[in-house]
Amino acid sequence: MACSLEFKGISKSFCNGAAPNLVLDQLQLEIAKGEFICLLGSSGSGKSTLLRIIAGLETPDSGGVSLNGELLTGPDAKRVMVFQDFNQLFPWQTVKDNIIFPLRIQKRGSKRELREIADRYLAMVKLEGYGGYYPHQLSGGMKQKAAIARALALQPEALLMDEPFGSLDAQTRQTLQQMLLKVWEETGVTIVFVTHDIQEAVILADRIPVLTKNKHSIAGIVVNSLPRPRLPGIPEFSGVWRQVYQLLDSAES
Amino acid sequence: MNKLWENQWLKRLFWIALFGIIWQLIACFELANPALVPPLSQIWISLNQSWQNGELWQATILSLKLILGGLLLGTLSALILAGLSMISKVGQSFTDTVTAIAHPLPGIALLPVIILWLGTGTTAILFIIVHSVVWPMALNLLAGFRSIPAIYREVGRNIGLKPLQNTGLIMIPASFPFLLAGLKIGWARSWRALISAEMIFGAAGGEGGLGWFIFKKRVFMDTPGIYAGIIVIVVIGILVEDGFFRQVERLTVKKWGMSN
Repeated sequence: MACSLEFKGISKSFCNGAAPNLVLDQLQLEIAKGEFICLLGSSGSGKSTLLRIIAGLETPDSGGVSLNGELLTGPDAKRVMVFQDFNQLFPWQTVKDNIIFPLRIQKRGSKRELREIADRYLAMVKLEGYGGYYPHQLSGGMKQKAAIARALALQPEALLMDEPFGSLDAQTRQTLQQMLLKVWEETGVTIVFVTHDIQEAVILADRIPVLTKNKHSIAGIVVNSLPRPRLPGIPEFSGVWRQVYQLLDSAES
Repeated sequence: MNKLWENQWLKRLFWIALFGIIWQLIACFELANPALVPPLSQIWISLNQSWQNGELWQATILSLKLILGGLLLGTLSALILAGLSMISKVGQSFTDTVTAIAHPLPGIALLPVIILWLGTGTTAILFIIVHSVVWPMALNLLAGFRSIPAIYREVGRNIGLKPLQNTGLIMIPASFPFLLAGLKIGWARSWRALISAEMIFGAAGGEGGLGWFIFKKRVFMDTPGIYAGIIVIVVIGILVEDGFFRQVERLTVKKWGMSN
């Protein structure tokens, strides 16, 4: 398989008072180009830390991440983060300017081209007509859609998502999950998605690496080859769900 | 009627008119010494006269020039101080110490020293205005910078902003509500500094501002003249608050949903 992201022996601990608190220990993982990965784990299992290491917002104590064979140092626009926080959009820019701004910084074309790109991605996340709104005029779900559009417009190699739907109501979350899958199929981008919701992971991911607190690493990877769209009601869905649950349960006890 | 009451200017006008009527009644029935509370007509005549012969508007222009100059210099210095404090630990301790020393110090307390250093010219007045603006402004800016959510900086790093771009394109707009609040405080404090400095220095280089105008009128016991000077200051204050600051707020922090 064409390898996109490769983690080699990643360790990370945080200094919490006197004793360093080990979060990740010698973690290994390979992610293929275009794959949809859900990093699953309870809080404190280091899944967000791992994502931030991929983004370059944290540096590992040892080991490293490479993208297409190239070792990564620091953040760049090839790996774009989408956060859980609704505040990730800049409130002083309209939705459209929020999408254009990073493109302008990255010098991705003329003013007109950038406007066209922004319109295209706004349409992709079903936010046509909201380009002129300011973020505070949008609902939480719409803000997350706009943040996804902003990230995708940069045409990154990897889209890194840190529980982006964690603060949404169930209905909106479901809509955004389906939208994300559609966008993923359209763009072919690699997605690393952090969540603690087993159902969300089973709906979205090709593979689900389960991280646990006491192993400080991946306890196991569940391969999920259910055909999409995946509906929680069907028996095969429950099968994968149980597989993930057992892995999580056995590793935590 | 309810709709009328919503109008900002009408609301203002109502209270001002009410206040004027009470004033006029006191003056008409001589409830107070007429030398202290002159009728509005006399104040109006005095205002008109001083304006016509150029004395008042020249003083106004001089004062405004000094204030705008002081505000500009004070804001720039505050930006530099707050910026230094954000980029290095040394800068932070420097700014903290200087602000702690100078902020509680009234500009008037510095007057004797300033007279010795700079004489009694416009430079000295400008210095006092800058002193009264820079510290509250720096404190506001620092509070603003520190209140910026970490996520903005992370998004900024992610999309490849350089440090200077990060300051100009993220930090300044993100702390804009604080910057605006600092500017409002600076504006009010610079008037106080200017008027008190002028009353003590008198005319700087042959021409005086509004403080000097009011002071002169007191010397000649020209109470309508004193009130004329005060009214000009009040009118400028209201115009700047309603006409400038409110508009800027409407076009920025209110529009962005950032007003606090």
